[in-house]
Amino acid sequence: MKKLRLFSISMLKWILLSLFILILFSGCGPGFQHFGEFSIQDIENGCKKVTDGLGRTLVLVPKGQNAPDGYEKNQIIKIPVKKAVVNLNADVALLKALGVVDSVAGVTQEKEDWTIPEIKAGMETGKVVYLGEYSSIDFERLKVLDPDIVFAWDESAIPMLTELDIPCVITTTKIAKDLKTRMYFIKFLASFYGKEKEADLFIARVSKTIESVAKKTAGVKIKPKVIWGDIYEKRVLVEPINSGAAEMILLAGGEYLFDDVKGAA
Amino acid sequence: MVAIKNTWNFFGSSALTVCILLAVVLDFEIGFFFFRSHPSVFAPLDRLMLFEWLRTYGLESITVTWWFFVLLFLLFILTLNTVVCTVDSVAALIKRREKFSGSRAFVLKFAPHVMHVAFVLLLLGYFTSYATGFNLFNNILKQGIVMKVPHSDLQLSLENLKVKFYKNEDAPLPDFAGKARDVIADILIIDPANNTFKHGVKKKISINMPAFYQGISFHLKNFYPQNETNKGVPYVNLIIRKDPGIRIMAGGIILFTIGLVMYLFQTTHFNLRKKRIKGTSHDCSNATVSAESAERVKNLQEKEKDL
Repeated sequence: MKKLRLFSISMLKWILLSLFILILFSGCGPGFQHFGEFSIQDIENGCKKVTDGLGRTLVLVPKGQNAPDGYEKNQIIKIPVKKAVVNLNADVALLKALGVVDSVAGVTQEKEDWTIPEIKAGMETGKVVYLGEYSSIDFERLKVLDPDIVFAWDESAIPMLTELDIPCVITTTKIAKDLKTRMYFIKFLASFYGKEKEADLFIARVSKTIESVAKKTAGVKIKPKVIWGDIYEKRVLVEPINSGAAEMILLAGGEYLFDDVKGAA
Repeated sequence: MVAIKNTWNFFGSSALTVCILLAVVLDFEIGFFFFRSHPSVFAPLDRLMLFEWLRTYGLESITVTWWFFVLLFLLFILTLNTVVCTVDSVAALIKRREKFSGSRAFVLKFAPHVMHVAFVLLLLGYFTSYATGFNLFNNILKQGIVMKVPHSDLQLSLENLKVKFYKNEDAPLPDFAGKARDVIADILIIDPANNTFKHGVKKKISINMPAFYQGISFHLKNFYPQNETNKGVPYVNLIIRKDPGIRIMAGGIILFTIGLVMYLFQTTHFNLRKKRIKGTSHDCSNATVSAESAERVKNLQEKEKDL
């Protein structure tokens, strides 16, 4: 019994020591950050290894630097990006928040569907090109446009873009993005433009707004019942409880009715 | 020498086994809550190798992942403990082999030790795969493109893709009509290092039907088109894996099964013998025979206790 007690104490010491060492090392080293399924890791020569929403690895190489070995041509993206094709309006909105909306050279929604003035104006002057619907992109036009990168929303665009040697980043995830991932996703986009400071300012501003709204609604007695989803011809797709949309409803003092649905967006 | 002996005894103690197993259970309980509350930290364990995950997600989110580091440490100690205990017990068993009535009883006594070795092999197999293998997700392949398989000289191309769709008459639900029900892809693996296969070896892959070549497996993760109305470029999305520990794991599983069967024989063998001897003592009217039987049961029980 005495042996057992002695052993337990020494074991506890080892565990505490190991944890201490781990915590000590956690602050240094990898230069790694992740937001949901997206990640950014500093590697040699100012390059960054990033993981997109599909789990693909890409490497961001500052212009004038050589890319590290072991990556295919379509995995290498020269930064800062000057010309981009963007599929999702929400991504364009974040690029506007970073102050790089003028890098958008191609989109897959028509002019009438846009509310961002810079894109509307760009489409009128021909600076921003409409490439057709997402499911039927005009790849010949895309090749002529020759963008540095395509921010796409699913993998179906990858085979053709690979053939055209145009790097592609998937900005959606299989599992719904929670509020933190939605907010910090701007840091992922910022790494393609070297606008990390702008991203931090944006996150601070949004966090402050959310906090102030949450404070105001903390004491509400009547909680409106809310659902969030898209209605299609044959089905309705709803946002799960782990999504940013559901979290926003809860923070705003609402009751989210699909609180038993978890998983994909 | 004394220090080595003390260390050996420390790792061979059964108190250590109990403590480690309790600690593993407690650690898993804690881990369960972290795993559920932070899925995005642990999900990359599916696609990353162990040390890469530990270096990145593991260290970056240490307040959430510390239990996993502790688990690895505990499993390492448990493995040492198992090895030392097994060596001690097997040595003791061999020393007392003359006490056994027959060679079968002697061999069957190794059952728990066979299972212990199998457990160590299973852990070793997983460790080998996750430390030295690779796991490459999202290899998107369309016809006409030759892709180089990373970490190898192999090249890969998609020869053919056959997708069967539900018709209106065989769809289980009306919404299923026109959707994919089955897929088979023919892939060509080109191995420049192998004279026989330098022009390529054809393999078929499907959902739950991977192809294997030289220790590398090709799994179908996704495909396109998934609907008859889809008009984009057909492609397959492959997972390419190398599991160097898979043979060790298979060895562990086979050994564990053998150990389990031996243990089953050992228990039934002793139970039958006990029953037979007890049965003889009940049926016999002769008091002397009955006393002899009781003595035999007692001896058998003592022998079992010794072992």
